[in-house]
Amino acid sequence: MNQAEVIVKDVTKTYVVGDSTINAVDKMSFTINKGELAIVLGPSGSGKTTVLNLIGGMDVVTSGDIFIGDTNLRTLDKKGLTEYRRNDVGFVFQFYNLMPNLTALENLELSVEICKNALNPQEILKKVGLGDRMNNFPAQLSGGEQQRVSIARALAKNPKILLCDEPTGALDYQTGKTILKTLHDMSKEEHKTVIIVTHNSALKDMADHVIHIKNGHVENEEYNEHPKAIEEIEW
Amino acid sequence: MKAYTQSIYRSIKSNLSKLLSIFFIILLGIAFVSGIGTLSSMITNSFGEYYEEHNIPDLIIKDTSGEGFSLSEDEEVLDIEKDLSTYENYIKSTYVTVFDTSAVPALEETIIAQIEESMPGISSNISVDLLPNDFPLTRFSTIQQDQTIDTLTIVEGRFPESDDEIAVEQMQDSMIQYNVGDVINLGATFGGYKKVVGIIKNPLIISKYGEPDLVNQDLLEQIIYFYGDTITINLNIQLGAISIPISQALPITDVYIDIDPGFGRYLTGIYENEIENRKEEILNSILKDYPNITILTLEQNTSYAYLRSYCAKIDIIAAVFPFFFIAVAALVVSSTMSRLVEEERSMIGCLNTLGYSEKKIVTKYLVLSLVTCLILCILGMILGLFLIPSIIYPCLKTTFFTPDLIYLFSPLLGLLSSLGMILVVTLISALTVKKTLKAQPATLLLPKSPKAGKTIVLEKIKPLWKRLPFRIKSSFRNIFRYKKNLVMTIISIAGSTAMIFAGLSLLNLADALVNDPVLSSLRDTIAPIAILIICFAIIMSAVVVYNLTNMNIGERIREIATLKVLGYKESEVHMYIYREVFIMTCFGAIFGLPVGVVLMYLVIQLLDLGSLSDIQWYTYILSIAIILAFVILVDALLSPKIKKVDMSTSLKSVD
Repeated sequence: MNQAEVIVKDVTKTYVVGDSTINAVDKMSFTINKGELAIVLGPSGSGKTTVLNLIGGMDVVTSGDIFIGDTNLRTLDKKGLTEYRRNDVGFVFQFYNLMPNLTALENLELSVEICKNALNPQEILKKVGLGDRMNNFPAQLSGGEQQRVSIARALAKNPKILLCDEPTGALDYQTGKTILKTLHDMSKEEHKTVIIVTHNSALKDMADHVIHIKNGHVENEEYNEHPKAIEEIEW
Repeated sequence: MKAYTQSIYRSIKSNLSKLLSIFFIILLGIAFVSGIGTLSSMITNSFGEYYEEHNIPDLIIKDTSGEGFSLSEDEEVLDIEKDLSTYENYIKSTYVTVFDTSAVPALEETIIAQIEESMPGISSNISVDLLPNDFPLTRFSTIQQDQTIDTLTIVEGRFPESDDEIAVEQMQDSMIQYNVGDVINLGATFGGYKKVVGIIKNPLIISKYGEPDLVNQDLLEQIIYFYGDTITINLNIQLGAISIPISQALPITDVYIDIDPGFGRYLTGIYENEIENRKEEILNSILKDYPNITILTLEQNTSYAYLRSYCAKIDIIAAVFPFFFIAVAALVVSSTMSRLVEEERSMIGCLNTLGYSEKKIVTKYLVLSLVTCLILCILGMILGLFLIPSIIYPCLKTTFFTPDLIYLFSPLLGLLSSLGMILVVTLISALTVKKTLKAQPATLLLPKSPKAGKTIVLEKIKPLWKRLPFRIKSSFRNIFRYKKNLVMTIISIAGSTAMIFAGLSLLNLADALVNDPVLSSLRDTIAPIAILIICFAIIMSAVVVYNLTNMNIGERIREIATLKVLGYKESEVHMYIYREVFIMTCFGAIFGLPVGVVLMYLVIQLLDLGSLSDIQWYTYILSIAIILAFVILVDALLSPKIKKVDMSTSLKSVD
């Protein structure tokens, strides 16, 4: 069970702004195991979005290595990263990013269509509790429902990791909780590695593994032997 | 107020590429329309001036008896001149001998008849051969001393100064080429060997196609001008051992008359009407006692008639196409403007919140589009009025001996279309601002929410919809999601396709004219106009597609970023955007084709030229192919914009 899924090793990401350079991520290292629900926690400007971009294959490291399974993302070119994003990462956005002209089901199909080991979109939608809203357009769904479509879209790819960017950030308290519940259930039932990037420290109690980030470094890591049930979390 | 002006200046700057494309369309559209619109009057004016300068005869009195007007016996010519001089609009006249060798058989008969008269019974024993059978079809003509009507110009060399010398008319398609210094054998009857001392340009013969002879309407092979005002023929008739020498002057055939037409200039309908009236007056009153005459007007002059029908056809093209041009251009411009104004909503909302009155805001946008439109229309008119005639006029050289182009602007069409353009564009912009202002300032400050998706009619056809690949479904949804874009694109692409089709068809028609010599005057000059039409249509469709794709990308940066995050390849993302544009373009092109056919039907009817069957099959395919090719080209130009979209955009909030 303690098989590493994501290994971030001595990763530095440098941005050049005008004449000066900024290390958004500075020699950062951490490991996330398979099936873990991990939370990358940090205030804005801490470098957490950069980490997300790097793990998600949306950006490349300046130095260091990121292993996803056996693959070193640093060795992948643009095409390789696209391949990686298409097959290995499920992405959940803060603002859902559903295609407004596609129904819930079609939004899943959009992502499944290009993917090798995809799952049946209809079943996934049923799993996230949207069996009866499949043919609705995003505008006809509530924020929470939209986010569940977004999660379903990520899951339908049958990815190695599920990468979530502030998944509750645009939702009200109660809806946010149901989304976290969905993510939690998916992690446990489908044995998916789920990485949630957030600034909301209240979420940390639900995670197996919390990585605190500050100024581009890992400040400390904690493991919860007994993560709290979502219902007990408050913020 | 300064900051307000500044803000407007800034929004112009930030939308520069879209605005420039609009400017370009206005400029080009107005230039084309005003240029084509002034073309025929500029041609008419240039040739009219030339006619004026060379005092082309308004009327030509022709002898129909074959005996001609005689000066020596009963002084008929002088009598006609005397009678004419009583006519109130008479200015002056001159008399000319024009003899075509096609009239030789008739002349031979006349000569035999004359001999028979003096020696009855003899005619059966003699034959008269004025010219060898293989003699080229020739016109012999005289030059009056100080000829003031139909003044001839020496193109090369000089006028003949003795009986041994002749001048020839400048080269036409049907003619034998001569150079100054050549010696021509005119045969014994017409004086034997003569030296060509000059090449002459006769204002009555300005078409290069050739001048038909007066008897059979065959094209003349040479036109020879003799020295002096009469042409004398000499021949010996052998009657056994007796040789009868005959020497006589050819009859005077034409009296050229210069009259005051009253109204109008050459090559106008008014002039022709007035002259027709004058002609009737003269025939029915002044010259009613002369039975053997006919009066010709310039309308019976081959060159004049060619030129006239040519100008009439240009006028028809100028009347049909500009309407189409301006309509499509105005549509493209105003829909782009309205989209630009919509993008200004937060600015408008902000101004509104700050307490700027609605009137002030609307006025600013109104003045802005009005002034811009006005400047562009003026520039376009100046450009078109000079440029298009100077492109097209030289093309007339293949058909006519063209005088120098004299710029005479007839800006009516340009002004009308400018007015239409200004009205439409300004009105649409003002209405959009007003409509935007109706919303509460608070809502205006928020970005416009993206249009919700919904099911489309096509989905009702389940068997078809089910079978469509998923990406195509998505494209179709998007196409119908933005109906305004759809309509605008289809109309403008259809318009452009129709124009390209019409342009290509005109080229086909021009090609078909090769087999019809009378119309092939038209051919070489229709081609450049057709090419202009095609070019304009291509540019317009390119601008439409550029604007559409550009805005499409702009409005969907977020979707593009998301697709990239989802692992769509660059090419797949590009296709996601382009497929829609491409499908819409295809619709537009398919709609455009029948419109083009109707347009061509109209043009063919009006031009009285060729038929729809002259349009080649490949023209149908080519017009669609050209449009699609340019769409692909424009899309390729915009590719970097899609490539540049950063995936991290997908993480940001909706704005």
